Amino acid sequence: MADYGLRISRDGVDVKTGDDKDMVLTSKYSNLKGNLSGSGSVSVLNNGVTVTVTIAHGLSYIPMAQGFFSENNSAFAILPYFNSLSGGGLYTQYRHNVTSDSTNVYLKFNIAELLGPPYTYTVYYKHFIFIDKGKL
Amino acid sequence: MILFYNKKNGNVFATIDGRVHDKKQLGCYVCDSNNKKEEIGKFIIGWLEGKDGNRVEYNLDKIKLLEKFEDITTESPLEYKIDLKKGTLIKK
Repeated sequence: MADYGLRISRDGVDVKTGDDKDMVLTSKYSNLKGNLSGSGSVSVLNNGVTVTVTIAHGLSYIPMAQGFFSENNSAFAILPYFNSLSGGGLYTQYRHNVTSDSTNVYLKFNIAELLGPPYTYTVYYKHFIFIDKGKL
Repeated sequence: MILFYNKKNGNVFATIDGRVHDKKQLGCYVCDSNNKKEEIGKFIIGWLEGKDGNRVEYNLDKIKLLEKFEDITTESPLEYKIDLKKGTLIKK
């Protein structure tokens, strides 16, 4: 048991010799309790209209959720993200947010460029939905 | 991993991570302004686990590719699409 400190196997599987896929839990991998995570990309026009990514989480309560976004699928910033940047003759406002209800998690992206031509940004996102039921 | 794609063009636009998915996760979906719920298909790489604990394999010929997706520094599932005629995962 070299690369982990904790391992629990499925019923009938030897915890010392079983494959990782037959483990109920192994500290070799992330162990945030029951989180639902994912990623994606969406096109966002710079006209100040909010684009919403809807993730149906299948839970009957409002879960805690985290969202991240990136414009290059490399460096990610955490949501909410509200910023105004100027440069290259453009003035760009970012209003990105994450919300959730008992059915969905919503990632909302809004880019407004008050100067400059219409342009479509590709926004990459990641989400983590924690299945632990909180007090919401 | 569950890959969500647009059934009109095969474009993979979102994922849900993991290797073993249960029925509840299979019921989840992702949609946005360009990909309406009724246009979305799902491509699974991994296992679906039933209530009895039995696991059904899906597309495990792509398991090496899944490892690259999970590594996040090599390949992204967003660089792939579904070949709508063959139902397979191919690079865009």
